[in-house]
Amino acid sequence: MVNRTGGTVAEPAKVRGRGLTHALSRLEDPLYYVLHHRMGVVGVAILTFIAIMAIFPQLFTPYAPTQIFEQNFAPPSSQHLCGTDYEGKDVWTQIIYGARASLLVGFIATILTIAIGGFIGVLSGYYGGVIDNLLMFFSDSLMLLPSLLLLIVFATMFRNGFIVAKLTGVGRWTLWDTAIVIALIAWPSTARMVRAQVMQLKNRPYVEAMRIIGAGPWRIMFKHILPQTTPLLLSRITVLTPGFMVTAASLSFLGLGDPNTPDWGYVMYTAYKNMFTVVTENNWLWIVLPGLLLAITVMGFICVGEAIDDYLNPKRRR
Amino acid sequence: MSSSRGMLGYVLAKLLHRLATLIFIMALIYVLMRLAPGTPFDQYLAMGKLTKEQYEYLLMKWGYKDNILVGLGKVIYGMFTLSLFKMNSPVWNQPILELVTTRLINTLGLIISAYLLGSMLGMLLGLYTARKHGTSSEAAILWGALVYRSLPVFWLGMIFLYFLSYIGGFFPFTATSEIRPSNIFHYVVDWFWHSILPLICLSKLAAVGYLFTIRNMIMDEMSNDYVTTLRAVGYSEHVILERYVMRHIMPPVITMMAIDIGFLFGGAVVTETVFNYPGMGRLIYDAIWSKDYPVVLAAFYIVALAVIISVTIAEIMYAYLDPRIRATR
Repeated sequence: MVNRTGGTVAEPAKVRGRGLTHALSRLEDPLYYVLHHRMGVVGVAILTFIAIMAIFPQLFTPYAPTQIFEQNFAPPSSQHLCGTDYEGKDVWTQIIYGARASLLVGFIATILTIAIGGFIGVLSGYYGGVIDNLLMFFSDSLMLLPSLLLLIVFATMFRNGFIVAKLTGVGRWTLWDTAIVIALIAWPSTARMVRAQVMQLKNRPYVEAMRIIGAGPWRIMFKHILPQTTPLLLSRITVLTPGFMVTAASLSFLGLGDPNTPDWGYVMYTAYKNMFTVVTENNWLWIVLPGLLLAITVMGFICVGEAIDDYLNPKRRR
Repeated sequence: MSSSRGMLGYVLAKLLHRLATLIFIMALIYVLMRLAPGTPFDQYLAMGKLTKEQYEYLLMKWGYKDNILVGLGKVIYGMFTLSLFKMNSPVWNQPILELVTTRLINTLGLIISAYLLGSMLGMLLGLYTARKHGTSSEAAILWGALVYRSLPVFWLGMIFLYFLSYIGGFFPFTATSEIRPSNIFHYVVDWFWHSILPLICLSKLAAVGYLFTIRNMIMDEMSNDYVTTLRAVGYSEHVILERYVMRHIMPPVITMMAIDIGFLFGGAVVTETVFNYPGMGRLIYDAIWSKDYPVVLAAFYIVALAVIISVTIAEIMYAYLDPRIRATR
């Protein structure tokens, strides 16, 4: 384990509780490190602010995102900070509620990606041979293709609904579909990292011991090897989430998002579509704000990620 | 095994592997398109501009009614005989080859210049920050790069359009030129004038990533024991960095750069949309949207081929530079 000054010391014989308290106490050390890291603390501050915006949007705006006002394309005023859009919805409210949609799509896609990548990585690394070759062939192929193009293929072809729409009967593309498709395309990088680690772990004596006492391969893989890759998987969160948020926003910006739960990309799409009105009304906040918030969020994730990276890689510490 | 035979075997295995990848990608795209409902002629049938027989004939002609396996066979056959490019596009009503080549030239001009600009800048700054580790100029560059990295490409494009084109009037609104340039010099200047904003947007994708990767790699490498030994022997930091450290980190960097070419094709779609630039990404987007499958297939084939060729060349170079890679395969 790593002590607070950055050097490595032997693991102290701490008596730790089971379950949740145990999990929390394991997080204590990295949390302390991140909060005392120059970039880490900036990142945590940014993400806290964005999280508050996503959880309590009512604090920032008196309107509901679906509320329609009489005047469409109203210029910015004290009632409508960023004016209203072509339907008469308040743009400021759309931007505030966009935080929730953007974060949601980023997180769902990340969780799914980690699940798929972890599963395939463990399978591929543990079995090796034909299974490994086949799975790595798929992952190589997906990695080579520009993911945004493939995403556009999915999103355009299945405008009338992909998996979730079929299950729930919505009949149109939703935020969930975006997240699912992103995960279906983005798993290879995570799978490769997990695979590399599993290939090292599977030759450890404890795995050999498990095998000798008769544990089945699935039990070994998912109960004894996969948990060892948790630090890797957790550190993927800070890398994947901001990337997926931008990917989802790009898709929305191309007009392939979910208009009923507008994320920041969708707000930018409407701004771009109505660029002429935006220019004549000098409503520059409509253009600047959603992208700025997205950029700030991405920056927050990068900062926290950099801090966690430094925590996991003592070599790189200052 | 002699080293040259090892290399040849490696190259052959790689080429076969990549060919399989190419076929897999095309098959994936084709099957996806066939699973989706709709054809480009549906709206004409609904408007009454086509009779039922004409509609059926058009579907037959463009292969929208093929059995999915037969169609797949046709696609793979078309990949090798290049008959993918020999048809007309059902939507644009123009030979696919013509359509794709003009768009490809536009996009390649954009991507390659953005790529050179971005990777050079990123590598130089990465080297610089690694050497100036711990100084305030490093911190300034890193924070600047961090902010720049976080800005979404399309947002940057919109900001440029709004403040520099509409409000400022410094740059043209669109990336296409209306005037016909009189000579080659004029043409180049005009092209640059129109593409400078998309270029800056797109080069961002390459630049900042390299900065961080190269800096981190150099710093990891510099903490190795052999560097300490070299320092003790009395080599200068400059020599250690250029003669030893860079040599170790170049192979992975080359592969990474090659893979990123494909990534830039993705980024090009968004950039081309913002600036109304008639490029490959935009073509693919429009073709998918109007369900013009022959064009989608041909365009994807070109993109996939470009990416795969560059990645394969990079991997072969990697194996040439680092013999350990050949041995494991």
